[in-house]
Amino acid sequence: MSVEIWAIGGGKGGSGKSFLTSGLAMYLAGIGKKVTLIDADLGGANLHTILKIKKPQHSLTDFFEQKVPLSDIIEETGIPNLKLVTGDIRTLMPDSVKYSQRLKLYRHIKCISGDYVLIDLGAGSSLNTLDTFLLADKMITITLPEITSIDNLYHFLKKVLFRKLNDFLADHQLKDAAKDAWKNREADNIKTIKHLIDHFKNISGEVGRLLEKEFSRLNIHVVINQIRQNPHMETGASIRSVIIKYFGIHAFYGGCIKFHDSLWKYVDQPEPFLKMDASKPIMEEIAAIAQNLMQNRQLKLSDISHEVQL
Amino acid sequence: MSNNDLEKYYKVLEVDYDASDKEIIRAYNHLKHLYTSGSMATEPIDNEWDETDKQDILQKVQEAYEKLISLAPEDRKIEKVPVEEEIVEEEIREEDIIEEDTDEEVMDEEEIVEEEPGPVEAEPAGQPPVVEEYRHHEVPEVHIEFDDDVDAGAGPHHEEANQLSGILTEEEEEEVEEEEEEEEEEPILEPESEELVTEDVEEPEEVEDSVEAEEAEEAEVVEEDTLAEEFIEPGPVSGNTFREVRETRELSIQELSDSTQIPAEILEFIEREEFERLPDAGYLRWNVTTYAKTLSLDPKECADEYMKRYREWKKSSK
Repeated sequence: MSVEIWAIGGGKGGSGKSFLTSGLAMYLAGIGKKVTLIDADLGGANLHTILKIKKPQHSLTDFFEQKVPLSDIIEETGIPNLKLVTGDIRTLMPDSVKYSQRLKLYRHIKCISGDYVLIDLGAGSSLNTLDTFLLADKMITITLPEITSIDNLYHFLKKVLFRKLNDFLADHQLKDAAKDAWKNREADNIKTIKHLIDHFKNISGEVGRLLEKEFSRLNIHVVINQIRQNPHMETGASIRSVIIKYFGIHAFYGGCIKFHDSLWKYVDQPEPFLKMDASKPIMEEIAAIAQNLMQNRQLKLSDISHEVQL
Repeated sequence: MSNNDLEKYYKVLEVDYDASDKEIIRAYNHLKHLYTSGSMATEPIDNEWDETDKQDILQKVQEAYEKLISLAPEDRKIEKVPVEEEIVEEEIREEDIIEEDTDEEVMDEEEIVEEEPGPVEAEPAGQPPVVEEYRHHEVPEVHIEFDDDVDAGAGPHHEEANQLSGILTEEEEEEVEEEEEEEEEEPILEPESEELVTEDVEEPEEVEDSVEAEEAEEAEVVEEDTLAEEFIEPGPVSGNTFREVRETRELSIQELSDSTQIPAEILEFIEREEFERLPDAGYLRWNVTTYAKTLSLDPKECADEYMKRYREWKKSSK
């Protein structure tokens, strides 16, 4: 069985993507899974910092510029079962990565041996990020319970779906059809990305059917970070509902992480924070999320305690 | 109800195909609140969304809730994994986790489809199908109560809700009639549900027995009551019954509250029958059911009996 790829993206900077990615990776490695972390936050790589690797020997820059095979730039982290591909930290031109180079990277990622590859995508929604997200077996997004962060997440999802639709249509000799339909959306009463996708689902038999199938396979896993009060736990279920009803794709509420005020004290310590005793409560929350993700389960509304009904 | 319909309703409520009553009620309340009042999850897309889109969602949610909650969990179960999980299972088929189950699952599905008009027929002839009959009658009851609840609380669905309960009553009648036709040997039902649906509940003989039970008749009821083996005292169930059983089990209110997630004071109100302080009927029924389950009492019977007392109180207080 080939390696399972998890990508963590979406949401705005500071919502905890790198934190969640490294936490999940450490949990999986801790239960004996062979894990490779890839820092694909082009231009903002910092997983090596979180894992306290002072001088990474290699990075994705070597892969892109020196054509070093990916397998040669995977490094040990000092944590059993956990390896790391450091991000593109030595380039000053993160946008210069060509499409063909990206395709090569994806091919190499799929050939990595082990159980899991976790990719930290970083903020933003460049084509790089969107394509890598779509490549993953598990698409994971993390957001804070704040409107700005959720807004960002939705923007990201819209672009992901539009990219997916574009790619699909291009593969079926309908290049630019999605763009044209969106430009003329008023004529077809298309208001949202869901309407746009539905518009193409309804055209010409076979393509529509394939499109439907393709989109029904998408499943977004939502994680909420820095929860400060109980009602915010339900926000994950609400976002899930919006993804299902507004975006028209499957979604799971993967779980949530509480706001731990004491965290900042430990970030600058020489040891990786998540290895320290102080991080135990957080690691428990991350473990629950990891278990949900592994088994395609979710945090159910009925498992969230609440005060008085209604 | 066909499996397709069931699937549709589960998806609308965004719950698993084996969701419990509790999960369904929770999902319903969550969605209703989310698409009525909004939240930070809907705010970013509010400007892209018409009011009619939300109304459409709310209507579907309402329908799905009413259909699913009217069926007993075993009657609405779909022996099939949700679409999301199917994908995964395809991928891990090599690990033959599901291989054994697959055949059974398919068979179950077929069985369910064949049995469609009602699982009543599947019951051995000797045993009166008490639970199923109750369940059918219970449907409008739940709705009426819950609609009251809606009226008193949020309010906006007043008319709609009343209409819905009317429609459902008619559907119930049809269902009842259909069953009668197919089930000549056991004419338990008398479809006189035009008037108050609540009176319907008292139609089956079994219920009459247990309701009007004199002490002498009680023994008989126990014999008939094959379904509630653990049910301790057949006959009228009151708040006192709960307290007595709880005390013989040496359970404190707090312990019960911890295991049921029902606030301690609600449990106390239930025991003391302080109806005016209790949440409205939809929740009350669920609370009582949960309470009964936790005490290993027959949840159905207890809830039916208790809700009858609640309704009597409500009638007299009006």
